[in-house]
Amino acid sequence: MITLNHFLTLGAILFCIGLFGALSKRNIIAIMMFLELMTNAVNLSLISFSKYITPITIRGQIFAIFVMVVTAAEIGLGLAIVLCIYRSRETTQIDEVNLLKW
Amino acid sequence: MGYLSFLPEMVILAFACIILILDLFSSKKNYFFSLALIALVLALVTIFLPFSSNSNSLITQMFFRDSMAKFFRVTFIVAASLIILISNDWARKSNFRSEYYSFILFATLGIMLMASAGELVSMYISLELTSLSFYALVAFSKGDLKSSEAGLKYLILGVISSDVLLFGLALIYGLTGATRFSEIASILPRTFSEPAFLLSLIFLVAGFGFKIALVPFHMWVPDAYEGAPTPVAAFMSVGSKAAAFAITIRIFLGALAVAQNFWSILLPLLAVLSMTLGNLVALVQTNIKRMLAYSSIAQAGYVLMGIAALSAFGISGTLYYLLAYTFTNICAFAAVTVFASQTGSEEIKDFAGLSQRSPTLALALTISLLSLAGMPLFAGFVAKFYIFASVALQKLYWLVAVALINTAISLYYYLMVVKQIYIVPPVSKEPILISLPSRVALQLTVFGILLLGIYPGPFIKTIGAITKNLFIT
Amino acid sequence: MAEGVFQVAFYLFSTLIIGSALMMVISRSLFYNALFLLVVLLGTAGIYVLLNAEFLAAMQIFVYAGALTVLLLFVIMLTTGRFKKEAKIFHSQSVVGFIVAISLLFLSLFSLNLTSWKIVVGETSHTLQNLANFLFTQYALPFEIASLVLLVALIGAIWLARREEE
Repeated sequence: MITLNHFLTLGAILFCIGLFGALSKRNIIAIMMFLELMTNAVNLSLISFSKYITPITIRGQIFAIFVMVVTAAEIGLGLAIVLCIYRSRETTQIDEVNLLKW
Repeated sequence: MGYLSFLPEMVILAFACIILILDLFSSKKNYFFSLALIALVLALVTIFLPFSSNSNSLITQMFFRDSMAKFFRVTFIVAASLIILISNDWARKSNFRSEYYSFILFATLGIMLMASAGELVSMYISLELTSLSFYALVAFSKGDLKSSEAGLKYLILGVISSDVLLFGLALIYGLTGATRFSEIASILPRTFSEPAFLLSLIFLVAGFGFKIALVPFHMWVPDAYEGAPTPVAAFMSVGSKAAAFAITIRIFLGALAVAQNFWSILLPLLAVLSMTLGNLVALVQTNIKRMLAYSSIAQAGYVLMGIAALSAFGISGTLYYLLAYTFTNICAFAAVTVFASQTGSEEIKDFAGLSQRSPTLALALTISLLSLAGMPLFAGFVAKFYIFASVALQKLYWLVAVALINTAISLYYYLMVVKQIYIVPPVSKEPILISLPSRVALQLTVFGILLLGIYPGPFIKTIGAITKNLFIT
Repeated sequence: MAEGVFQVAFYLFSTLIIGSALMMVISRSLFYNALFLLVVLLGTAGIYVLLNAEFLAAMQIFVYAGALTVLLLFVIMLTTGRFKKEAKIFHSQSVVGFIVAISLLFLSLFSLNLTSWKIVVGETSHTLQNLANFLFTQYALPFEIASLVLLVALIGAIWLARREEE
């Protein structure tokens, strides 16, 4: 029997893998991918709540649509900044982008 | 006709788009500055028009139209106008175009909506509108390596914090099945003893801590402020921080008020950490923007004390502090902007002898720093007094003691800058010229600081009326 | 859907998602990283179908799996290129990230599974109509703001990624 807890567990595991990757990877583009993974995990929890807690009003699904829009926007802007940095410094490694004390 | 109560927001949006479109047809750059100012003035006027301010139609019930929302919207429009005024020199020097002004307007729109959000989805989406505008603004000077680097770091940490916050919101939604704050508040008593609620509190505190820049979550602040164009740093320190405080008040004292016992222990702790660490690290800074960044972390600690007092009086103190801080911090950043755009330096040691190079600038910077330190006669004093009094009334004496010690520490590094300005002889005698818009901004902010410091009565009365109805116990 | 099929599908998709996510962590090539991400996103779309969110599953495939992965691949090609293998994939402070993530994982697994959720029994409304109804009445205003978010991101991305003509 698959219950809400199964879906939430999956979401939490995915979220933490995403968090680890986002905090630890060296390549900025890889970090962007892990950010996407984290948002994906939250969406998964939202949609499972939507099915099990509010099956009629499905607010979670609506919330998830907004989250999708925002993530697409954030990753797009982030990649533009990556290109901007790559153009002047020829690197996409986070620890080589170090003019400011991190 | 619920839409009419969004007229100020619509005016700002319309002008932001007009600025973008006009840029296609004309290359004369200076009138975007005036257009942005006109937009804000018009928006300010429309806020005070007697349109259905308490409309409750289906479409608008995502946002509060209460007096606290009005307070924040007015404050943000005033702050944005001052930011536009101080942006002029910078924008001309760095060849910024129409996009800069429209981003400032979009960011203003975002913080105005944030401060009035009454529902999780609308709160999240306006928070993200704000964040995205600020990511773009921080990275805005393309030629400047520091700016894009700061933008990148701000974006990565900002997105992580948004996701963390979002997970917390998702759990709140899962526990209650509701997304509107009032519904959450009425359903939460049934479920707030669940372990998942504690988890969601951790996520919410971390997420909001990031946005407000409280201490364990502050690492992005100095980098973002140092790398960002100075007017943008000023706007971040007053705009997005105050908006984040507004939703913190609404969520914690509105939606999660029942669970007070769980989160009320955390707030004084975070306040003490932010004040102490912010002030101690500010002592050793050599770059004035970094110093102001750490000072803003410390100020966030003081403001949080007002919320930690858990009383209507405390919230009034918080609002007053945010208002005073808006004028004070913009004044400080305005002076730094003028100085940096003429000399190209942001090091504290280069401020030596500023009083001989430009007495007006020196006086304005000194007033703002003294107000930040909380000296009498200035806005910062009344604000600090208000907050400390509200905390003392709740018998949190140890917290007041820590805050007083911190105020003494902060006085030291603010006075070090004042010493540079007035006592250390200048390296070069070259006078610093202040352009007309910056001069107006400096005069307005200094006037605001003195008004709030000397004649606070009417403001305290207004704010008291706002918070009287707001607080739910 | 029969319970058995449901169960098999859930475990299949979960293994696929978590496996690919872990491969993303250890993979040395950005290009493979992006492909594993694609697998994760498609697997999640499968989970959405199990959760009766067919529209979101479709959006997931269009927006995330389609558009965003292609965008990522473009940027990878424009910067490091396809075949570059990285010598060092974690930076020096990655231990902190590991501690934060692992403690958060245990904390959330415990508290999520100890909670008794107030589950409402009822068939999820499958209809897209229901979703659209909410989106364009109650949520019309946030929906408009979402379009502004996209506008800001669009202009910001153009401004930042464009080369400045002298």
